[in-house]
Amino acid sequence: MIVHQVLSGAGPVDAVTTQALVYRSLFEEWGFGGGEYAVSIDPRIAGRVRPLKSLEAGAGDVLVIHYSAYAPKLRAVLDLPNPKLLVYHNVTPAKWFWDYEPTIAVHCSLGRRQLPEFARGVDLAAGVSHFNAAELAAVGASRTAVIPILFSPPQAPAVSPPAGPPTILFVGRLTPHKRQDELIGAFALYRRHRSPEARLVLVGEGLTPRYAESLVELADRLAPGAVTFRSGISREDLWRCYQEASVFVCLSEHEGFCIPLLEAFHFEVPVIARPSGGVLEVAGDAAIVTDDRDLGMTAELIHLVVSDDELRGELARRGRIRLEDYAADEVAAGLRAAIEEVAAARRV
Amino acid sequence: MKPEEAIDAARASLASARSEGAYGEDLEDWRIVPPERPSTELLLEWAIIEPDMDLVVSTRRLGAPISWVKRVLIHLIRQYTGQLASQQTRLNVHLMGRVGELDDRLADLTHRVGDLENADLVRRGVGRGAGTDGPGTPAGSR
Repeated sequence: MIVHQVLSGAGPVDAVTTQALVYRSLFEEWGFGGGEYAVSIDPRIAGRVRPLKSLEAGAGDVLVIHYSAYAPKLRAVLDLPNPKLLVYHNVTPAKWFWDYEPTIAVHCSLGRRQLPEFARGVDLAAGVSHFNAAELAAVGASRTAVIPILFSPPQAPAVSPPAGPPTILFVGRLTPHKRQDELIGAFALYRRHRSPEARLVLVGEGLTPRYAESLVELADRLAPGAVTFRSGISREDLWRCYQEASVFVCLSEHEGFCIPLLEAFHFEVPVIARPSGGVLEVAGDAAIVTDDRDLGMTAELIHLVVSDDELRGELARRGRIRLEDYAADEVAAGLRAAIEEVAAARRV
Repeated sequence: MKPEEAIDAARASLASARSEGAYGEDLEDWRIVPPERPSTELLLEWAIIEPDMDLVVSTRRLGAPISWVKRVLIHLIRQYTGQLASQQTRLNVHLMGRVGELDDRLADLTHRVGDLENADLVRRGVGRGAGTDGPGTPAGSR
């Protein structure tokens, strides 16, 4: 079988591209041919992903369309007669970007407006979470499925965080909807009232240099010298951040899936999160999930998690169980079944 | 402690800390202030594309001939660039017209809703409501 993957954009640290490449390694194991194609391609990954205009799909070749953003000309793929599987990674609502990066806001707005066409124009529309699948159904997809993110646990093991002041961690792009601003506020309260030596580590690329600078300024104002921003780090360095963390705090307002939760579970780092988007279903009962907007509450939860060994142990235990629900073999089997179903439906 | 107990425990702990004077910070300034959005007037100004030829210059040493060549090139393709600018301006102006209409309608509807709410409060004998006298407030209704 030939399976081509189509992406709006491809980059070396982009989660969707990473997922497409993980799919490809599985396809090779299964003896599937095909390639990866994107509308815009970061030169650093140009060897592995080809321009969409060079796609020449033979009759019967399956197209897996990863949908995470608007891209001009991506819609033309729907006109191809091939069997199609949509994998919806979610599109962030535009409202989060109008004030900071209107061009991205326009892309998000278009991405959401065009979603119904993609949902209706494919043979099977899959979300990487039930939350995403529900959005697909809401915009008119006749058949939906859930194919979770294929999570390959890091080789690095979980270790006890080093002795010393607690370290709070969040991993995600520095964007308005991820609410690093509120996390900095909650962290500043935690330092003032509970742990003056605590540190916060924020890992992620900035939406724009200006937005990243705004966060740095806020951190310098509220917790001078205590917040570390890291971007463009290697996987090994990222795993070290998890190994050194006392607690992972996610105050994001919108997540289609939230892979860092699974990474935190792997490293047995307790998680505190907001129940936004796909977070609740990914976290299950393995995280402390609250929609309480009081930053003092977040600070007190951090204090509880850091200081209560029984609570930390129980969250780590549940996190390990939670990871079993995302076992790569099961997810891979679901992906293969979806592709074969799409291909077979057209042959009938 | 079980994870299910953590939220209640944190809430109780926060209340206790606050009763002792902790967590009293005014968080109003603890946020990123978004850059100011361009006003409608400024957007209207931007809608009409008028490139400034004076800005077509080369800043290199001895750049005068380069500036001259650039301006000649622009002059030679002015029919094409003029068409681009006029098509874009047409879209911009129509879009701004729609935005202006929507702004006016929204203001009008907001005003009417305020009037209706005030009138309803008056009818129920609650008083004149929080608003000031508006054009839709029934005269002598008290």
